[in-house]
Amino acid sequence: MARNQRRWLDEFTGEPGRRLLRYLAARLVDPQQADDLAQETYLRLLRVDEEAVIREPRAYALRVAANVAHEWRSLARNRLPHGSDALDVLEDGSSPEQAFEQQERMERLNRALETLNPNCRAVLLLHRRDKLTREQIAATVGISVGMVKKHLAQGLAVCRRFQAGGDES
Amino acid sequence: MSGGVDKATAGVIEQAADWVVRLHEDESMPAGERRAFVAWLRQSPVHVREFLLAEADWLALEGVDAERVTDVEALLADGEANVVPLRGSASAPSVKPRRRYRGIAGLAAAAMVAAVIATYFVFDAQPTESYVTALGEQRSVVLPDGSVVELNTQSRLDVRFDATHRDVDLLAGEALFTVEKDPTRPFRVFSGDVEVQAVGTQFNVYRQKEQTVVTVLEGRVAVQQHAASPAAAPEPVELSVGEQAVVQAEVTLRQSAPSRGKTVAWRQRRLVFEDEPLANVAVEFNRYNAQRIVVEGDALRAREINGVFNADRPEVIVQFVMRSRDVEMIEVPGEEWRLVGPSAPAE
Repeated sequence: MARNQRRWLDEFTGEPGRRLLRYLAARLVDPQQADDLAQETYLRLLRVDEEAVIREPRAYALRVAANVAHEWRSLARNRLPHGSDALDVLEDGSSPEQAFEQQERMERLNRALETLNPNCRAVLLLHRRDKLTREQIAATVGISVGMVKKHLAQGLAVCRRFQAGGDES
Repeated sequence: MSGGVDKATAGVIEQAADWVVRLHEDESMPAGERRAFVAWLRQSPVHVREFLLAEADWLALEGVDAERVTDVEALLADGEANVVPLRGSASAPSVKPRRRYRGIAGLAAAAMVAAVIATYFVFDAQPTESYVTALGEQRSVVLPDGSVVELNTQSRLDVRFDATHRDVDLLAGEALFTVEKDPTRPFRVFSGDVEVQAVGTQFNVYRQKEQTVVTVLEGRVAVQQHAASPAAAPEPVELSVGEQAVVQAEVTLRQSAPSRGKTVAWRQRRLVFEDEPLANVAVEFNRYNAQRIVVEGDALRAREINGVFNADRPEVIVQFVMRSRDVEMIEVPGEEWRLVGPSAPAE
């Protein structure tokens, strides 16, 4: 059992997690859908054994959310006539709509970054774009690791707020 | 959308961003912090939503400024220019660290290319696919052939498909199978030493501690119990619509199934009991909930229950049982309800 549980969660920790997370992210673009998905995920998190969630909370929560998204998609697909593979195309993120959404999201994020103060923006770019660790950034920029974390959280929050509120410029 | 976000949401956004950054640290998070994070998630669906969205953006930020037009050094110099007047001091200390940056950036670019390549290969179909549900969780899965499996709480399923067979191992729990027709590849479900074979049909398999219950909702299936030697194995039992097989150690009982509604009620998280001993009722509720029902006293354990219950509301059945004057209840919140009743039937 423990091994299966591991595997179930591993999908969200290693490289495969990025693909699953991308799948999930595509289902969060529509605000109504994001609300519904969060609501159902929340209810399921209330039902499951808290101790199991606490062991690996991030992987667990993402796993449950991905399961919900997947179930809803499966249900939608089952209602389609047999042989229809329109939704399969959607799944691998290569449909025109999805490519468009992805591009829109990148543009919004780029615009959000421009509103950040220069240090915060530099730290975020060094970490996300350039893949430097927090320690490397601290040494490079000449600030403490704690300050790096602060910049990262602040930068992410501004990006989120920028998208949630439409515009902040 | 206009006017930005309200104050409360802005606060949640900040908390979510903070959690995501902390959750992505290289070292694992201390237990106390993990506990605090779970408590935060369980406070509100809005927290869950903002956590999910922050995770999505954190991932997307990897792809930001892909052409690398933003010069980080210029930004840092800019930042310093902003900082200097405030501090009223010179900016000398950061000259040396900045020179180090170019080398690190080169390495980082190479690492990123490796990461991007790696993500392209990981999602290929695997020979064995495992599906697991946690306590109280239910999910449905579409298999590669279009068959659908609905998994009930605390279940584990391994799926192995090849050119000649569609094999599924039910390692624990309960599943409802809706099988696509494919005469060239039989669909087989294994539950311990019990094999259920179908062509195109719908059936439910519930693996319990000491027996497996197979119920047919559509079409026909063959149920075969395997033994150590083929000679000792009982004959396969054929079931059709409305029939059920209860397979215990070396005995297969064939009987008429309860109504279809009762068999698949679990999909709506409903528990249906007809003259079911309270001990079994407790087992069923405990499949879905962390706080368990414990029943003590033989007469109470045997007391028969009838009715339809919500699997997520064990407190309802507890209240129901407590209406009898001879039952005492001790609750340990988060752990159990202990129902203590008489051992012998009342006179």
